[in-house]
Amino acid sequence: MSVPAVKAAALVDRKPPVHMRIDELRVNYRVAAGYLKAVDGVSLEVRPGETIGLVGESGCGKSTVAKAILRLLPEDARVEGRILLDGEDVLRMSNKELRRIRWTKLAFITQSAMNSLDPVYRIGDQIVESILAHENVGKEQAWRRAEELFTLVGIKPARLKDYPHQFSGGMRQRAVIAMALSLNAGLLLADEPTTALDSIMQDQVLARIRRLQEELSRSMILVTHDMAVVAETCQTLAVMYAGKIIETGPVADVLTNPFHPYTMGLRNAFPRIDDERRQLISIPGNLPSLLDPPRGCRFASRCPFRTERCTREEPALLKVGERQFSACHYPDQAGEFRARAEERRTWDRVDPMLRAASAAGGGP
Amino acid sequence: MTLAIDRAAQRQRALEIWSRGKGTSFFAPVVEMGRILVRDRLALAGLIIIGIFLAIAVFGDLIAPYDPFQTLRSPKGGLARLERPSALHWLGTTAYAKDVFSELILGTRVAFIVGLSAAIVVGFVSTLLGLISGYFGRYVDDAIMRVTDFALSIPTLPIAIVAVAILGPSLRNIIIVIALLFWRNGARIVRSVVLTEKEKVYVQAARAAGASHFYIMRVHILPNVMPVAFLWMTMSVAFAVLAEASLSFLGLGDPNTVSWGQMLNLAFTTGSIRTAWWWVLPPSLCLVLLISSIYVIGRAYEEKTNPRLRRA
Amino acid sequence: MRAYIARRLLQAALVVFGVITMMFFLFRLMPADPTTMLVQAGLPDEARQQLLERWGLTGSLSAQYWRYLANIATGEFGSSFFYQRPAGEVLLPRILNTAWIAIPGILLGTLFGCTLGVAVGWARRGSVLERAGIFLATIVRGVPSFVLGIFMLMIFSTWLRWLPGFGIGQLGSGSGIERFFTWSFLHHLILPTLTLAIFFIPENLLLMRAGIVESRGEDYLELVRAKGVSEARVAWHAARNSLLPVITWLFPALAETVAGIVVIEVVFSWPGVGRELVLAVNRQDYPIAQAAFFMLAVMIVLANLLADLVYAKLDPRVTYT
Repeated sequence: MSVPAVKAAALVDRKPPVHMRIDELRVNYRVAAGYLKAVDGVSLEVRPGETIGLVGESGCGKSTVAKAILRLLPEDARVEGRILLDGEDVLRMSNKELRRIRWTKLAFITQSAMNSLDPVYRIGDQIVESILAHENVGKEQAWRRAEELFTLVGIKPARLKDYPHQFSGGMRQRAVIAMALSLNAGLLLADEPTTALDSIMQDQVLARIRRLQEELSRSMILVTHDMAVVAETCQTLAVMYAGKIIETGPVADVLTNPFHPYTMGLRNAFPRIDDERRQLISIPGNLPSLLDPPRGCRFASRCPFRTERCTREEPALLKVGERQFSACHYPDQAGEFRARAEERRTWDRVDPMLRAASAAGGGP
Repeated sequence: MTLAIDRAAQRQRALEIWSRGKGTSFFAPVVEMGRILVRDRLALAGLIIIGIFLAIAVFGDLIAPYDPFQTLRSPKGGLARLERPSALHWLGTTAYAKDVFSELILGTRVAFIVGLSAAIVVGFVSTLLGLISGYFGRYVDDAIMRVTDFALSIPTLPIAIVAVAILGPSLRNIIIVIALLFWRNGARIVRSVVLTEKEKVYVQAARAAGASHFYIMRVHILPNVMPVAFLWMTMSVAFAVLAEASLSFLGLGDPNTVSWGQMLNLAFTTGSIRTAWWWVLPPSLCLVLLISSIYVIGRAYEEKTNPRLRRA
Repeated sequence: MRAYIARRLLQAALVVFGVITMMFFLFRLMPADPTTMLVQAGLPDEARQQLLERWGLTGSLSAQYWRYLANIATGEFGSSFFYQRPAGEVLLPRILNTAWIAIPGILLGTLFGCTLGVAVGWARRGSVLERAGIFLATIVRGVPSFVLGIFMLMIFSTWLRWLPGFGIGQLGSGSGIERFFTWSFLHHLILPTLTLAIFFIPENLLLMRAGIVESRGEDYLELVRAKGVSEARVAWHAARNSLLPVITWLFPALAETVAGIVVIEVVFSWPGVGRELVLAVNRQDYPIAQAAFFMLAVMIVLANLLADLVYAKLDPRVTYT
């Protein structure tokens, strides 16, 4: 009963969801041994109201993409490309312009809510701070909005007066979500919002995010390593590997008909409700060095289907379905790959291959 | 029977793990510190300045143009009081007709005597107490820590003033009092290192293998405590020089010698600081140079070894 | 909260008791006849005996100790040889004088030191501001307080002739605090207070800077920045959190702080407790020395207590148990 009323009051100014397009984003870090190519030519589009899931192993560059959009990368990072928010390039904004769009257009749900609230301020004050930074309202009015936001994420408004250490992990995560909603930003960026939580809390927080999606229809980028989370919350999926997007498309299409062997491998690593008999198989091996990425397909060293061509020639992101794109040289054999990828021994073959390669190459 | 074999095997394994923890030479931290300092330009400058002071302290007799206790006469016949710097007296003379430059050189020696002896005593006492407190823990630790807590809440200079006044102002007493003042912080720092060291696997293994407390402390814990103890000793040299200078400035210096603090005390009490800059500036600058050099070195060492201050 | 304060008060009382006991033995360590310490030489035997009894210097050591405790409990520190008045009476106005330079000096020094520390800590790693800031702070930290005082005296008093550097100037009439509000007094107050403030800056600066550097990588700063608040506001969050280690440091440092105050009082001939201690020691006026030392020790204990309470106030995570 009370929820619609809350919604109406909390979100007086109904801003439209944001359209975002990333063109050829590159992020390099200068390190002693050369340049670390954390993100290498990523392009991505988020249409208004769409939720896109950015998936990959840790270290694949997905969080770096999120931080680049927010312009939160450290000073020594070199960022190239374009990040267009409703046509404005975030990477070319002055600090003043940047401050203006932060939180009004672009809000952030952080990775570890444990440490992302300032321990010496009351949570309410931290939410109010974000409102006062952008809107010309009184402190009391801002506090009232914070109360509404807390109701929205299911925490008693009285607890706004608490300090972060008085909250449980799940409550902190919800408080961070409430904070992200405080100015009704058109694009929400959630970086591993459930990773630090236990599975029950994960479900609750995800359910909360889904409901907010339905009610508020914001554009959203969800960064996660968890395929299951994406399957439950996103419409579009983008899979990253070693700084590149290797497959993208509507969630249902990509999950049922993956074209890239890495996506097939990732799919194996998570339990699926529809097929409980399926074995959990993880992909052997590690990400290649980003300092000196291999020629050809970056996944080649771990791919059970690799050919000589894969180590020589880099595959482009090609159209494989109506809205699905994949960066594999052999989209025609995807059906066969899919069948074989469900068997453990296919992946077991990779391990000896890896060992042989490292013995031959001499390097790790 | 099987039990005995198991125990022997366990012992063997423990010995293996334990021998891994060994091999750090006692003076390795000192060498490592030297390596860090030579790479840091500021710290290198500090080292050079200290080296020059040390040379002056050692070879002072060869450099000093006059006996610092000798009352000098000017060529015209009168007492050479408060003479400006000249070819005869490079840094001028004091109100008591002594040569400032010669006094300054003797002061350098006094600074090193006080600084080094106090630092050695401080280093020894704080390492010992820190080791015992951290290693044995429980009641011993409680007792020692309560004493340091108490010692920490006593104002340093006032207690030094009172103690030196009561014991009598001699260099030896000043050194004793300074050592009594600075062991407390050192003991705490050493203790915290010991606390983390004693939880290491090889220490536990050594204990399981039946090594004596003394052996474990000497072979496993002490080498790891050395860098911190050495840093604290280095800083203690600065604290000691500073404390001696303060006491001397307040009129509690050893009357049988001349220190930089005493020079400033005499300049101050005779009202010469408003006129005789050549008497005031040299000891002031020497104090600042020596103490700051030590601080710069301590700082460089800390920045390099404290991972929290170091960023990629 | 109340239990916490009560416990801290008890601890403070224990420390004060320790100081008193230490003093008892310290002042009886004298190589010479301990009785000459508290009773002036050259008195007729009868008067001498009377004084000895009054100051508890007769009987066994334990009897002496009890009488000594009783005397201190009633504020009796003996009579000054030099002033021929009770030590407490001599020193009470001195405490006020010390407070006049100590409180503003410490506050100013902490304020400037922390602000500069935030600036240096917030500067880019390896930038000129950072390196110059650290270098200067380290050098200034190595300047002994009396050298600093002498430099200030030479520059502002002798050379520029802007400020007086001797004594407290002309006080107004009256007995209340209003007698301090004269131009002359305030004029004399500037130099010692400023010196004390400068003396405190480097340590505060370096500590604050270390705190800022450590907190710069914290997640909460990232979120604060993402909220689109001004960069100054982000720095404020870092500073507010870094303040906590600075206060923790204040605790052991307060004992050292007094050293600066004593020396600066001497340099500027400021009639405070510290200078009185030095004068008394040089005059061998032990009742005054003993009382002055006691007062300085109590000031430290009280300041520590205050630092603890402020810390508890500033850090919501502290639980009062």
